[in-house]
Amino acid sequence: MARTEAIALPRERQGAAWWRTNATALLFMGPAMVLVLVFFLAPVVITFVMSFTDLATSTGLSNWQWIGSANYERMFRSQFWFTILGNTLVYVAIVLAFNVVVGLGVALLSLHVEPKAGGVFRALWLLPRISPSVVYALMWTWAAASPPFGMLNYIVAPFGLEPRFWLQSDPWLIVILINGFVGASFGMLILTSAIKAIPEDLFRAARVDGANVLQIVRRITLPLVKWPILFVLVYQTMSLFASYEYILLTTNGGPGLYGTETWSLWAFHTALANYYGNLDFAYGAAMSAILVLLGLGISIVLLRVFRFGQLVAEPRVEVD
Amino acid sequence: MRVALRGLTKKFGEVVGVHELDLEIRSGEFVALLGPSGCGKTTTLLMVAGIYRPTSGQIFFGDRRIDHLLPKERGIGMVFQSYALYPHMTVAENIGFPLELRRSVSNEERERRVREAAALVQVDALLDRRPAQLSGGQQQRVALARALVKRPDILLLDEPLSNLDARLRHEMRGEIKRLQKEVGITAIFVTHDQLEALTMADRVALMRDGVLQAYATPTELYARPVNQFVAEFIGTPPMNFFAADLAPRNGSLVARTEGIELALPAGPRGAKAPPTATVGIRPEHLAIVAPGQGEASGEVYVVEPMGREQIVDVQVGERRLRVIAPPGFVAKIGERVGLRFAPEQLHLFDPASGARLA
Amino acid sequence: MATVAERAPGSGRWPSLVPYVVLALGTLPIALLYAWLLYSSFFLRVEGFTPIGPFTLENWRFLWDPLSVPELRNRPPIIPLTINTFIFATVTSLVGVLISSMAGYAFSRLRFKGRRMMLGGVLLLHSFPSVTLLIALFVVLRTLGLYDKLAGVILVQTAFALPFGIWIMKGFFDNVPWDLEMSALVDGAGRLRTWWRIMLPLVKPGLLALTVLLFVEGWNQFLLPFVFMPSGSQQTLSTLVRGILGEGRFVDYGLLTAVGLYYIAPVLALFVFAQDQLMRIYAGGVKG
Repeated sequence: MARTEAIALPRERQGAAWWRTNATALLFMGPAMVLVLVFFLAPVVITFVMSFTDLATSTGLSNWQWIGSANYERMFRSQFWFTILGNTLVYVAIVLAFNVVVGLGVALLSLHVEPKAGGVFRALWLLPRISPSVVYALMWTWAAASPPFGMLNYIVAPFGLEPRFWLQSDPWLIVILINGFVGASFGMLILTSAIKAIPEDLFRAARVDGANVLQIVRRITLPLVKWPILFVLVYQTMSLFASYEYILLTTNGGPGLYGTETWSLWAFHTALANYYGNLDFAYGAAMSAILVLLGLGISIVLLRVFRFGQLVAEPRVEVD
Repeated sequence: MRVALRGLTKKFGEVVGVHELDLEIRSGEFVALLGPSGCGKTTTLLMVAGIYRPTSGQIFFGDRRIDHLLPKERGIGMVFQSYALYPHMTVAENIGFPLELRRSVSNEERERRVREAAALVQVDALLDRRPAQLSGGQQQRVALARALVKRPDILLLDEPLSNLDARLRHEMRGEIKRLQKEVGITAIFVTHDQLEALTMADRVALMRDGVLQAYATPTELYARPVNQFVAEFIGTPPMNFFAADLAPRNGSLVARTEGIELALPAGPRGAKAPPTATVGIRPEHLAIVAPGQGEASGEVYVVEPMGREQIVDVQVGERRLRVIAPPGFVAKIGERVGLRFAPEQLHLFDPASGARLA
Repeated sequence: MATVAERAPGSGRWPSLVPYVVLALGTLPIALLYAWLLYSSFFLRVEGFTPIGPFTLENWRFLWDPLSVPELRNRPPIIPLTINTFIFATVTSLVGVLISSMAGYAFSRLRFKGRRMMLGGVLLLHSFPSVTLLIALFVVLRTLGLYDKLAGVILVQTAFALPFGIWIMKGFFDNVPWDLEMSALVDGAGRLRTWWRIMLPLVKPGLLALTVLLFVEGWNQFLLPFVFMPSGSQQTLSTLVRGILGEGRFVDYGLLTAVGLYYIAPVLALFVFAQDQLMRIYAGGVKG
């Protein structure tokens, strides 16, 4: 006991000691903390707070009022909310399936062929992700353009399909393809590195045991990348619910009233880009709040289930 | 500079790394912290360096208490196990780095001192190279120069030889010892290799599980180990141990167990002799003699020629004793032999506590 | 990783060709889209895959003669827009890398109150879809007087990049041996100098990769400038392309592809040079 007291040195008064321990960290963390506070944490809070007000272009930033849960009631009384929810679920489900299946397929195949060729294929699949969204959308808009321009018509012609303006006639197909090809690269990257991490001896052993390629994939590879696949599924689900950039750039929710409108796009249209000029921030915030909750919930699941404990090893230097 | 550790304790959560360590190091002394991995020796060194903060206890350099100071305020130089040379800097920049951080040292003086330090460890021809272009031994020397260039009061070395191959290790062992004496600096080095500790250090602090076991000169550690752990850890091949019953005979003591009967020259003095003890004898203090002679007899179990000598394992009853035999010794496995114990070299330990009895 | 010889069944030629064919067919749409973008910009009219008319540089005239391009008449000329985009991408990536490498170092090497919790927060935000915050950010920027200003969009973009950047940089710092850090501290450096003189040079590959990645993200960014910078003078290339594309009437695909190619070219160049690093950083940092 006497020793424990003895360590409290003259220089180390309580406040000074705290300062000494945390000042360096504050210096390094400060800028990041400020930006995250102002542009992440504050907006999360504001989204929820705002959803209980009537803040809109008409009220301005100063004349708004609390209106309780009116925005939420309005949302679920809207004649479109069910259509939009349905759109969203269909969109998320189909694009998710496309992303994961294609991502896994590209990962498996590109690792199966010559390493050089595999690398080229993976690079090609990554192209959509690193391209500006407007240019990528432009390419698909053109591919789906009306005859005689669009490439799609020439591709399906041999199968006896009539030329058409796909963006109008089959908007969902385009929305799914454009998002599917972008999103597949996510699963491809994660699963490629997961498969690469499997010890080579397992494959050698399986081959010695007489397994063929399909058996190896089914009995060795897939079970071992089960967690990464689950991770991709959960992560992509969340980002698909929240994303609307490519829909905005192609169909913009059309054709017609809410033809391909999803929940996040609905919020965007309501609050930031509607045709009536009165931007309904609070109403849009209520729509967003649901997505923010979903995002936070899934993020916490990801954090808890996938990888936290092992990531926070304590630093080995006790110098401030 | 004298170094004193007083009741030094380090806990990592619930785990005790170092427990109530007291150690005095005289000015200019070369002290080894020796012990198996996880014994707390590196933790101790890092507390002296200021990298770890002690949970309790005090560290003095001279008369000044320093355990609240930052590493840079302590006047220490340190050589790391991996040498920790900065890969993006040349040898000269590496050695000059500690001086670069001191405003009071001018550029010219820095250059001069870098040259001096490099010459001291004979790397002055390599100043423009990068660490990756150096051999292990050269990297070691550069690390030494970097540790010494700011003329520290204390030099700390963490497993300085473990990354070198056997031949280089031998060479650097002598080199570091010579350098330490030449500079006259107080030095502490950490090692798990008892041979390094015995050959290089003035005094060796042997630790186990965070607790100091012995602090003595290499000769003392070897000749009069204070407990069974020390006896076991120091010396290769390790000491032989066996349990024996003690019984008085003709005013002195006899240790007896299956196949062995030893007259002890001086039993545990003063106190009443315990009924049993652990007897220890080093392989070099046993000699193989003709069957029927000596204090024990057994069969040759295996022979390992080492060039200068041979290590012979002899099965005596249920136990096996290791003996060093001269190179000329020839024996077949299973051959019956006698064993002669050097009577002055027997060690007795308490079977329960491991403490030395005589 | 597996070598081909060991993984391929190796029983005859036919089966070993199948994966190539499947991959090639699957990748064909992507290849066709980019191929079209390239050659469409050099013909006045392309129907499907067939160019109509001769090879021409007419589509590229926006580079030297902005006023004679009807679609661009009411828009700022391309060069100031390019400069805006470049400033946006450069500033967001440099500031983002600086702040990420500071916080990443702190998380990797410093002990401080709340470290565990804050690290959890970084990971949480890392997977959180920041795009859902746009509406609230509108209010934040308005309140701060940063709405419709390049600076405001830069701050938002930088903040959005931080959880990913901090996480990546922490990973790179984690890989630097502790001995080097301890050595610098014993040699007399403080934490700030250790970070600047020892640690940063040692994570240079990470810094470069993150810089390139954040530059590309900034260069490509569409939604933030579109929503938060609506007036013309400070538009970026993305809002220009979207502007022409979104007008909804007859679209001059020749011109649009030329502008698009002009816009995408730096990204493709960077991708060719830094492809391996980008792939690794995407895979390691789980950037969706």
